[in-house]
Amino acid sequence: MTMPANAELISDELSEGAPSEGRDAELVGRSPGQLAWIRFKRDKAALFCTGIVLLYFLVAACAPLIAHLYGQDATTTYGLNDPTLLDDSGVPIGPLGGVSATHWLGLEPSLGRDLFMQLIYGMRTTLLIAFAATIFSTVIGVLLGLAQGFMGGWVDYVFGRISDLLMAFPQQLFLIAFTPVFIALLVAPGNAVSPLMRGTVLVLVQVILGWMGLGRLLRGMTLSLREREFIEAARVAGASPWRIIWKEIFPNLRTTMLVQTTLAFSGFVTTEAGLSFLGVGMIEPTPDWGRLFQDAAPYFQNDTFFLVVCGVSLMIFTVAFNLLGDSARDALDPKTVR
Amino acid sequence: MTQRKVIAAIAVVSAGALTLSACGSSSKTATKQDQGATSSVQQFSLGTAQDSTGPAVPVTGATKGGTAYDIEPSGFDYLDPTQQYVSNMLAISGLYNRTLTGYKIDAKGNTILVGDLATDTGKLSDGGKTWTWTLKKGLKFQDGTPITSADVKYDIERLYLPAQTQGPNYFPLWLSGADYRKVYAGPTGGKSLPDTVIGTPDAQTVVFHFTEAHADAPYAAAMPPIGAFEASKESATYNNNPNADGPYQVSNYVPGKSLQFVRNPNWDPSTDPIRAAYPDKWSFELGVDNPQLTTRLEQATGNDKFALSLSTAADASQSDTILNGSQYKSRMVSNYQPYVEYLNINTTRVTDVRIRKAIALAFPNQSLQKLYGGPSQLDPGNTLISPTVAGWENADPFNKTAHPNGDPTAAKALLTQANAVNYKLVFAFANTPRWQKISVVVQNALQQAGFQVVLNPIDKTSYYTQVGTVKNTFDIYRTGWGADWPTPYTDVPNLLGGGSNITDGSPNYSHYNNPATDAAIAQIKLETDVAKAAKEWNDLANKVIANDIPQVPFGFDKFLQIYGPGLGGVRYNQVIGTIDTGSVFVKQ
Repeated sequence: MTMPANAELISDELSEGAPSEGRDAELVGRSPGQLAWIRFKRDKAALFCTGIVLLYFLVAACAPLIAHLYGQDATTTYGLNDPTLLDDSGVPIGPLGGVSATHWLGLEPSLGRDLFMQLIYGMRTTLLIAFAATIFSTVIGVLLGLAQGFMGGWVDYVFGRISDLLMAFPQQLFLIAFTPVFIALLVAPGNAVSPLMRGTVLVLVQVILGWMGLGRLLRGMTLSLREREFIEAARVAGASPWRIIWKEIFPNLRTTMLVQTTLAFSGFVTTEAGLSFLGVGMIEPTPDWGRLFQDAAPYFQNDTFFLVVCGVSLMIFTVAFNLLGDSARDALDPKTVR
Repeated sequence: MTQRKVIAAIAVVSAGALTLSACGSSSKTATKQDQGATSSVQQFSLGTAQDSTGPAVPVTGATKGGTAYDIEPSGFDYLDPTQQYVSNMLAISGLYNRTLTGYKIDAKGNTILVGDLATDTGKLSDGGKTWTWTLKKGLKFQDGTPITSADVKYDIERLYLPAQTQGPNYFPLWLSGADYRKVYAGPTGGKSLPDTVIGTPDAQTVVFHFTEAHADAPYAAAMPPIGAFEASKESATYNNNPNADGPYQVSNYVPGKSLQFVRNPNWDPSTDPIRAAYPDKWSFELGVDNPQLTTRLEQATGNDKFALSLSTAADASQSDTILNGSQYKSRMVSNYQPYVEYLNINTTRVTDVRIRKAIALAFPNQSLQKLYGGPSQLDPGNTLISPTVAGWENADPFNKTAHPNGDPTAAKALLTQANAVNYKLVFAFANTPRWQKISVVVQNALQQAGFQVVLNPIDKTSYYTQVGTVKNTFDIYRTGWGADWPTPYTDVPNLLGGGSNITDGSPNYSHYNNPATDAAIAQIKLETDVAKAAKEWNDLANKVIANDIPQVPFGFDKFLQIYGPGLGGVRYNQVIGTIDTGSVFVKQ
């Protein structure tokens, strides 16, 4: 008798992640999370990307420590203080944009600050803003998505229309137009805008336009889960709505949330960098990754290395994080064939 | 003229290009590069009647014929000379429009003012209130009609028309006072100004009766609206199809895209001391932005071999390439623009002169020069008046020779004396990459001197409007200003005149208001000897800058550009800060 295709699939599924003994080994009960973790560990690319991403976070978090060990800082204008470092037009003297034992990645043109320090402090700013934006937009997206899907009725209608409205906004234009407006609202003219305030505003405008994608996805999933038998059963058993949301629906959304969040994070990193590139992000003297890239663009002929450092570092991070997101999705949801 | 802001185009580089260019990274050595022009002080004197006779002095090696090409980033808002004031339009005006006087530039770059339509630079009488110009014989419009003094009168009258708002209005102001538009509404209704204002005793003579003495009238008469206008050619489409009396006439014009000139058969070279007019055609390609424009001139392939850009300087990112490339040496223009860069100190807010002096002493001029792109872009200077203006003398009121990057110790001593250590200064700047960088340097330097600096970035499109508001909330901010003609007449009264001159949008951005200075300005305005007046203007400006410090001038803008190797006779007009069309020829 031919083995049913289904049986093959099930046995294969069960054996996944099992030690080398293969099928003969005793069957072990594993939670979906454990299975996902096992699958993830087997993905070489995923591990490699995790390493890279963690390295970026570590470097960014330890920037002051690195600066201390390295002996240079991010604010001193070395090139302006020492006339032998920059030429008359402000381009670093020496190969590869002034790379030396003192300045490992050379100097930034015109102001002559240490490029390595600018880069890691810039990463810190950018990653921090992107991280905060991701957290807040995820929280808002989850709360509103769940509420919409579970409660339905006018709640669904009102928040649905709000998210439609926000999604219809041209995002780039909104960010460019409203960042200065928010800053003007929060800070009286003639006073310094602290980097913290500017960062907060950047997080705020990104969150306002960043939660709808996840919110809509979760609303749809909640809507279909709400009608499933196990929810009905819980209702009949007299579970409170809070318990149903938290214990019955939410665990089914975690995978989607995690995948969406990892993808959103790298999106926020590039948006933040893009905002600085467009001139509405963090301003001098706060180091910023995106602005560094913007500053590098005009020097593509005279100081190519500067552009390469900024561009490649940002590119590696975005690619690594995107691959990581993909791998996480593959690990958590292996049935979807890409 | 207010400074045309060049918006630096941002090169967008894709990730693909990144990896490709990685192998081509530059290695620079500490060799001394070309510094660009150094100042040779000019007097811009008035030429004689002999200097004003045509034809133009031939350029060595020049040949007639060919087509000269020009690439420009923006289109021309106005071809109607009455509306032309911005440097890109001033640059092309001379191709088809002649004025009463004009600037004659020799091979060494020495510039004098000579008669263009007129036989000389004008004769004054009545203590400088009455100016008489005699027209040359044989002048014709492009349709062959002879030019008479009535046509000159009509051209000036056009400045009174309600629609004519963009051009320089010195002549109507001087003839009819500040309310000139109420006095007379222009020639369209058949009405004409009385002979007591502009007299035309015969077909060759035109007499202007100003209400006050104006020794600078010959220079003002070199601006595009002060020429001749054939009344029968007045039409709604005149702006796109102007009637020529210069060596070329418009043959085809697509606004914002292209503009072609061909020879005007009725232009007589023997009447023209300024224009040699060698090429048969001029062809303008409009809408080519920097840095592409500069790259095209560098590569000079095809017709770009015969191309130049009259009013657009090289993209700042290309200046190193141009200065270090030996192949560009023979086809490079590096010279002064008429603009001076100032840090204005808002004197309504910073009232203590010791604090203003401390700002001036601490200001990091040398670092700013570097951030502007080096000596090829900005020449350090500390005078209100530019070296492109007659009578300019260098001055060093804030000891920048000894301390090019500011003297924080001396500044701090002054601040302590004024009991204002930690004085809060709001620094407003246009939110551009360059000015963000400059804000870092300015903040560091001033904080070192004991100031507390609050940075206030302003959107670059509304920057001039915001700092031009009298009731602004900023203490220090940068502006640029260039003289309309090479005497300080359009510098000092505009920049330092108090009283009614302090309005929103006035060039007196620091709101400097000193009755003694106003009295001195009124007195120098009456001086009829231009050279003497120039000296007095310079002395006054230097005195005000040194003692009252409404502004801290920190440099003179420069023009760096290359042109196609197929062109010769390219000379630079320091007065308007563009390349001059008069002597350009196409190498055969």
